[in-house]
Amino acid sequence: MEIGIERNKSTLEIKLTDRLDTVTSPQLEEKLKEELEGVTNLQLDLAELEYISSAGLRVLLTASKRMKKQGKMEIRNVNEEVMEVFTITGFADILTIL
Amino acid sequence: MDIQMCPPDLWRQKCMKKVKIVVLTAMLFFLITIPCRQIFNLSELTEVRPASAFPPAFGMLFGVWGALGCAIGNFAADILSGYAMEICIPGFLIQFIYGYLPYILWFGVRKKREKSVIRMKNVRHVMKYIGIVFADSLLMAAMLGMLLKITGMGSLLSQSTLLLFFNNLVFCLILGIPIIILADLAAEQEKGRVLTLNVRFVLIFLLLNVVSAVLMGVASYGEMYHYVADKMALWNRIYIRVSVDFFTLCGISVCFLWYLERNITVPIERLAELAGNYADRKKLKGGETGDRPAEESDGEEKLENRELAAVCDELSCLHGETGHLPAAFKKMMQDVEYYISDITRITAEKERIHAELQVASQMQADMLPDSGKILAGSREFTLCARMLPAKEMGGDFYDYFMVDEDNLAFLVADVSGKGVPAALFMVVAKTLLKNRTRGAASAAEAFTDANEGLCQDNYNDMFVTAWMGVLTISTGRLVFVNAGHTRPLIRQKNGCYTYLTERSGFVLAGMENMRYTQQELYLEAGDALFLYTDGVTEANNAEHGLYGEERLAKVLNIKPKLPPQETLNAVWEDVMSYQGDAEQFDDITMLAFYYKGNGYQTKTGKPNMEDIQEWNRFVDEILAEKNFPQKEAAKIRIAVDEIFSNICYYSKAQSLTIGCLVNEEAAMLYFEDDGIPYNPLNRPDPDTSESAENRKEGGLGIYLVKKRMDSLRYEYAEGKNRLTIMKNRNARKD
Repeated sequence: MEIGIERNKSTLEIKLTDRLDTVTSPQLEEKLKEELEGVTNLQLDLAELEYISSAGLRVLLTASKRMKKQGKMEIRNVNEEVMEVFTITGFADILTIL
Repeated sequence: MDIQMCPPDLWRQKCMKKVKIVVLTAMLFFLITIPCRQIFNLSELTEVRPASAFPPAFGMLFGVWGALGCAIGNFAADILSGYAMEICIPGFLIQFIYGYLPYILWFGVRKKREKSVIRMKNVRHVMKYIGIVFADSLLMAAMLGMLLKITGMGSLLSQSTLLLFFNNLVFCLILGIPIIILADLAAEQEKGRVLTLNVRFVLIFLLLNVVSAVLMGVASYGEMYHYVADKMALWNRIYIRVSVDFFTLCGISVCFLWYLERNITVPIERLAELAGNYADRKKLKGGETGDRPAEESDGEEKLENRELAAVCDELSCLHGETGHLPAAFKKMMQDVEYYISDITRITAEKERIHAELQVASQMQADMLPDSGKILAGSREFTLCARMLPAKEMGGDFYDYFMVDEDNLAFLVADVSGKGVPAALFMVVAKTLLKNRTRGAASAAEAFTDANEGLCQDNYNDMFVTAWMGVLTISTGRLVFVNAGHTRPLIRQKNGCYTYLTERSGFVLAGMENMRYTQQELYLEAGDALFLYTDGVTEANNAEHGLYGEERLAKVLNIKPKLPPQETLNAVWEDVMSYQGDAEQFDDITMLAFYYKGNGYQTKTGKPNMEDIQEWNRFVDEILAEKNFPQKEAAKIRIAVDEIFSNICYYSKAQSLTIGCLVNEEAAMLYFEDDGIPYNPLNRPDPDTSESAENRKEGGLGIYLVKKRMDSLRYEYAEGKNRLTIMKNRNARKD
């Protein structure tokens, strides 16, 4: 799991790769905690994310709740596998997926 | 007979035969006449003429050719004796008429002559013959008398003509009758026919008459020879005595024979013929193979039977035993008809029942699972079973089926009794056991339930003994329950087959409210079981010996490592050879089971979040090795992630085993931990329609697993949680 972060003023763009599971989710959670301060636009690129587990979902949910207060959070390039998880769990309705 | 139709050879043969007749009769006549003329000469024109018997006799035997032969013989004798031509030529004609007339009188002018029929077969014929020869002799005497008168050698009514008359009559009686009888007998003999009772009586009496008359003649001659000087008078007196003797005896004989004929011999002959016909026809009918439509032959037969009955009725009018016999025969005939129709009906009924049983037998055989059919999960085991009922249908059965994806049930059972009742109960028992096993939480509970079902309405007190094992394929755990059944044999750790010692419950359907208990053991790869019914151990040989458990174990242990099919064949052959020609006493059923192992690769250790990568790798490697599709593998990985983390976080387990099995169709994993008993499948699903603010974080993981695996199963046994998940290679289309 690599987390690519690009910051442009108040816009934070994060690229997730490989898998977001029990092992990797805490890393993302840590990163977000550090980086989200003052961010109004969170862009998540999941193009290279293979799959996501419930631990990953939890992190995304936490992030989404926070960003609702600070600005917006958008997710893009969701692959089929991950989209299926979003759909099953109802996250597809909660998250802004482009 | 149409001669034209005959081929030349036959024609010549016939001519030769006729010529032969003429020559032989002529010679015989001639040879008898000449010596008599020398010895017994009575006048210049006549003598004692035994040959006088020949013309009518041969005439009747050979017809015109016989008569002609005799006439020629006479002519030759006359010429040799130096008779005048005016005597010789009319004599020839008279002899011919004398010979040919009886033939015409006997057979009539119509040339329709029966071939070689016994001429004197009844009283009427005897009378007819006597009448004919009497008339013939009279005519002959008259004609000769006329001839004498015309030639001036004597008068019409004189001692000479009387002598001529007697000459003919007496010899026709005492010589003609035996000639005709002997000729007819010879002909009959040649044809191989047996004389009828009546003919024998007639012939015997006739011959006795003849003998008596001859004796009378000889005695008279001896007596009168001394004091009657005139030869012609002497012979006339002898002839009269002979005639009187013959006719007196003949009169008595005829009366007696006539009575015999009417009341005894002929009725018996007819009855004998009737019985013979009837018997022949029955035999013929028995030999028929249905070439002729049955109805047609039936109709004909009924008609013939009616005719026979009519004849019997007619005959039974007679008094005494001869009347009883046909009545009894008719009764017997009717009884035979009745019994035959009865037997035909019974046989038809029997055949129908047999045919139905045959179908039922096949149906029963079809109810039992086919050993050749591969069950799901049969990569882990091999199973082979066989049932042979003692009668058309049996009460034994075996069954095996998957309770669910991971649990195989197999059983052998024996209903009390044999035949159709047992088979009916077997159907109920089999159905109940299968249904209850699929619905019940355990094998023991299935038996308890099935027992209640079987006890209901069991008025005939039928019962079933059964042994059932439920094997969890993935773990090798075998739970088994026994309801009064024979102990199975088990082979573990590559050892020998030994009887499985266990407590047995009471028979099924024996008593209500029975509680069955189950026991368990663990099978390892290579372990085997052999189930059977008492038809095997109680198989009888010709000496009424029992096959026995000892012999069964011995046979199994000759080659304990044989695969099930061959194990079954070996035992089967041994039981059959033991049984030999003895009748199969009971239904024989056996089932051989071989456990190949669950095929799971396992990893056991303390569940620790830090080590999750190791556990993941363990699963990943197996999936990759078996070329499990990437997309589906990803779903399994998430499932492992979710379940493993749940165990780590919440179960407080000290030991976890993950088993993984991947085959051509699916991947199966189980997670077995010794933590807090917890069934994750019971957890309510999270509300996925809640807004982000209200979403609870828990429960999502197991929800994802539930949604994305093809099947999940949880069980808690022996202090262990066990969660099994299965994912098909190809994604479900729903």
